[in-house]
Amino acid sequence: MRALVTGAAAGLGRALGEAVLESGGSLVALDRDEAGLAALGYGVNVLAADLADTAALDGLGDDLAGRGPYDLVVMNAGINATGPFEAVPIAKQGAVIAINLTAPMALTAALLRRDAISPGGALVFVSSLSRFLSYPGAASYVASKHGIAVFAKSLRRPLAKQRIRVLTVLPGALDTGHAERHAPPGPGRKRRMAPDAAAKAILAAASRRSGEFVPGAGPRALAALARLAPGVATAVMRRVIFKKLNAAD
Amino acid sequence: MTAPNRDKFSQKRVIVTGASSGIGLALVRQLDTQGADLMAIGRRAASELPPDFPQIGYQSLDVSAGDTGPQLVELIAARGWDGLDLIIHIAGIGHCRPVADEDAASIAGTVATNCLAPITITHALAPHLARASGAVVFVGSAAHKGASGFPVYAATKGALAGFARALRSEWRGRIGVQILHPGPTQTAMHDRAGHDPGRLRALFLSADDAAAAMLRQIAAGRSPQKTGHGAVLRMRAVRMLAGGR
Repeated sequence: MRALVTGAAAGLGRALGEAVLESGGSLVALDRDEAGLAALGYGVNVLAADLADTAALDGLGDDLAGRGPYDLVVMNAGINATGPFEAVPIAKQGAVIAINLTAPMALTAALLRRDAISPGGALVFVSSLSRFLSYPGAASYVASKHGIAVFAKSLRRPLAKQRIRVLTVLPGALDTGHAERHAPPGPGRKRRMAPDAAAKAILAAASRRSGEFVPGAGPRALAALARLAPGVATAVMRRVIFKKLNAAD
Repeated sequence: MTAPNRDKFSQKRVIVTGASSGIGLALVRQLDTQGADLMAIGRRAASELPPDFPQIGYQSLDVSAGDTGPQLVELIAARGWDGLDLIIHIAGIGHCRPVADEDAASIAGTVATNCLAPITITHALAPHLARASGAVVFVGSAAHKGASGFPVYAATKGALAGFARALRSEWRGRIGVQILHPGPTQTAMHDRAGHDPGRLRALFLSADDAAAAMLRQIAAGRSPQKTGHGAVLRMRAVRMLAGGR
């Protein structure tokens, strides 16, 4: 199995790459963190690039296509910018949308144009549980994660004709640097899912199905509740995240 | 019994983007009739507007250029407005094509107009909206839950839906936030998008009906709201009961 993982130098992306290698697959790893890529070890095909550079995405997609074809592509790279909407500089919010939404759509277009995803393979987008819960205090992040989930859903039928599965992953809080930087301070850490457990569950799901997938039983229960009562879910998120983010500033 | 929005927009300071055609044009006409103090923004040059365009402030601005927020702040100051009661983000583009036929520039362009523009403009105008306890209205689409013919367009409208839900929670009690999802409407957008709806077009709402239903939903303030035939029929029923207005 040959896999491409974006944002592979840290967090969930790194765990996904390690899970691919453990299962005997070969890995193409993309990240903007060159040192982090070098630490992945010998045998990994690495590419350092900044996905915020929208003008470079076509060339980057062609470069990645040339390193394929892939049985698994995981559009995982993502950033966040938290705080009250009007207080977070708009350039930061623009970067969130460029990296989390524009880049995976453009890379997908380039890979499909070059037939770089094999029939029988899987295209995976990492969205967020905030698709169901919402996430006051990270409005542009929710926009990007909601948008990419809708993009994935729109591709499901056309790509099924090419025998490519499209899986959208909606992780809750993971025990990664991302959560450390963007979750409000507090004792939440032990409730976060370990990234390697999430990675294994994601690879298993990607090998057999399309659709939306929430790793972990706790997050899955939250997602079900939030779909039943979206207003309540958003109100709870406002209380447990937005107010604490405000208080922490 | 009167229609709920009879005096809702009178004297209100309102900005409408995407006002030079389609639903945006229908909206500024109706808001003008209802006595709103309007600033209309569109991509078209003022000389290309229809001859019966209302006598209101019109500015030709390309919202995808990224600097529309600061430009609007200047225009608001020039107009002498000390606050903003309502902004309706109508401007939008889309292409009907498989994703493999898109490239980075076309995708970034759709994201810039449909998603970044309303977000950055709202960011720039937040202080004006807060001063007037105003409201911001985002316009999604019936495609916001996914559409295999328009994957990038659907993604940008889905993004806006997620954004509006989070911001509505953040701004609760300060600034109104609403997203409306108009159903298919008889505008030039489908032709520009390269989409031929064929005989289905006969079922599409007229731009005037869509705009009237949207104004009613804006006056009511609930979110999210679909603007389809159901909304138009409800609006007509209320008008009949209210005495044929």
